[in-house]
Order: sequence, then structure tokens, then C-alpha cells
Amino acid sequence: MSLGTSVSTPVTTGANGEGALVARARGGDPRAFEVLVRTHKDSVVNVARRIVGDSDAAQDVAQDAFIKAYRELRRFRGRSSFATWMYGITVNEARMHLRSQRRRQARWEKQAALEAHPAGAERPDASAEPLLALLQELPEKHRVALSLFYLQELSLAEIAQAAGAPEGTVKAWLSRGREQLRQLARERGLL
Amino acid sequence: MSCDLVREQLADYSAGFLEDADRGRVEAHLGACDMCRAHLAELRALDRLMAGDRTTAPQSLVLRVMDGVGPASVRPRHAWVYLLDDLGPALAAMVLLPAILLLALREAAAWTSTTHPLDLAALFAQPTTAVAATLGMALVAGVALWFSQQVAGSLARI
Repeated sequence: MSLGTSVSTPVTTGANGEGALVARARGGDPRAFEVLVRTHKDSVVNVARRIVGDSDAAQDVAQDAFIKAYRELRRFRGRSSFATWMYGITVNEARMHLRSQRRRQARWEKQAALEAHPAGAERPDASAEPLLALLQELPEKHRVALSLFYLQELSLAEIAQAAGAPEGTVKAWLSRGREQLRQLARERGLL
Repeated sequence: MSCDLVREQLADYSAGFLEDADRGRVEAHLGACDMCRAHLAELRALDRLMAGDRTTAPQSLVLRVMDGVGPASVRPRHAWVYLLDDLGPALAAMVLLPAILLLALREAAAWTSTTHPLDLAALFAQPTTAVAATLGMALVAGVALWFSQQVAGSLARI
């Protein structure tokens, strides 16, 4: 496949247009999938970025999520919008990224202790972006819910679907998460 | 309504998650409480900050994704492949479950001293075996229903 292929067939990305694109991509048309990627890449990267707390890592997560989505397209039933389904995959990929990051961190700390370096001396800097850094101080589940909430395009039911948790639980995560975030932002002088 | 109670609900209020009655009570309190109004203003300011903190994904991401998708995995597939993909687990369940049920009925028949595993009258004569048989049949009926939904869903998609 050539990189950067342009889309030769005019397409729309409204609800019906998107359904047709998904059907074409499922049938093996990579150009249709490319349009879906172009349409949703910003939102997907923003969800991933808020969960993992790093813009570069978010792009890796988004890349993995889109590739996984392409391979799993046949499982997409159309019971939700493609975007909601895609966010669910992104959340899972971001959680996997965080797990492997925690494992790497644990290995690094163990190695640093063996070499008698003070713990944290060579640890990568915390995010230079203050709002992202605030989010990273919240529990992962709250962060996931807030990442979807701040897209400002999803209903509570859609957030719950993408987060893989019941609506009532996600509502509680959002409520607690936003209050914790408010307190942290106040402490750091961001409000 | 106390300030503590209102503040617990302010996040839900500003997100539009409250029912009418609760929303009315919160609004009545906000009308009379400067502190809670300030709290709400902070939550809204935070929402504006967070929602505005967005990044734009570079075009290179599209290239990376399309490169990762690869030509090998985009081979068009025939409709029957999708059907088999969808129905594989359902078919396996349809074969395995009745087999398990039949084995269970044989055991129950031995236990109730009947001569035939499908002697339902004898099976339902005892409460324990009757409950077990009912549950087993409900399970098979459920799987059959699921199977028919899978078939309908698959046919609709191909």
C-alpha cells in the first residue's frame, strides 16, 4: 500500500456516510478506512493524550488503536457510532500502555536501586503541560471518564460504553474526578 | 439544603446529569449562596480549560496507521467468511450444550432409576432433577435464541 494515498471516491462522513465507509473498510477498502482515520484522529489522540499524559505516547496509542480497529472491524455491529466504538478501543490501548509503562518504571527503579542511584534521579520529566499533569494525579478510572467527557461530544451512555463501565459508575467517576481536579487546579493556581 | 450537600451535586448539576427535582433544589440554593456560586464558577472554568486543552494529530499519524494496516490484511473477504466468523462460537455452543445436557439427563435417568434418558415424566417426578432439567432446557433455549440472533445479525451485515 502506498503511503498517503488520496481518497479518490468522494465520501461524506455523516451518520449514513460513515456507515458506508465502515462497510467499505470492512470489505477490504483501505481508502475508506483512511477517511475514517482522518475524521477521528484528533479526538482519538486527545482521549489517549489525557489518559497517558504524554502527546508522543498518545500518538503511538492512537496508531495501535486504529490498526486494531481495522483488524476488528468485522466485530463492529453498528450498535454504537463508529466514534464511540473507536474510543472504547483507544481506552483499552491506553490502559495497556499505562500497564507496560508501570512495568518499565518498576524495572527502572529496581535497576536504579541496584546501581545505588537515588530513585527518580533519571526519571523522565513529568509532563510539561500543567493540565495534563493535573489529570495524571487522578485515579486511572477517573481519568478515563474525564478524557471522554472533555471531548464534549458524547452522552453519559456513550462515555459509559467507551469506558466499559455502567452509567451510574461512570457518573460517580466524573463527579469525583471533576471535584478532585478542581481542588488540584486551585492548589496549583490554575483557577 | 446545606452547602455540603449542594457541592456534592454541583459537578452533576453543571454536567446536566441531575433530575428535575434535584436541579430545582440546587438552583434554589445557588440563588441564595455566593460561596456555592463561586464553587460552580470554578467547576465551569475548569471545564472550559480542560476542553480547550486539545491537540491536533499530525498527518503523519494517518500514514503510520495506513502503513501499519498493511496490504496483507486488507484482502477482501467473502461473505461466508464473515458468517463463519460470527457463527463459529454459536455453532460450537449449539453442538456442545445439547451434548452436555444429554449427558446430564443420562446421569439423572440413572439416578431416578428410569430406563431412558429422555423419560421426562420420571425426571420431573423428583424436585431436584426437575429443577436441573428445567434449568438445562432454559439454557439450551437461550443459546438457540442467541444463535438465531447471530444468524440474523450476520445476514443483515453481509
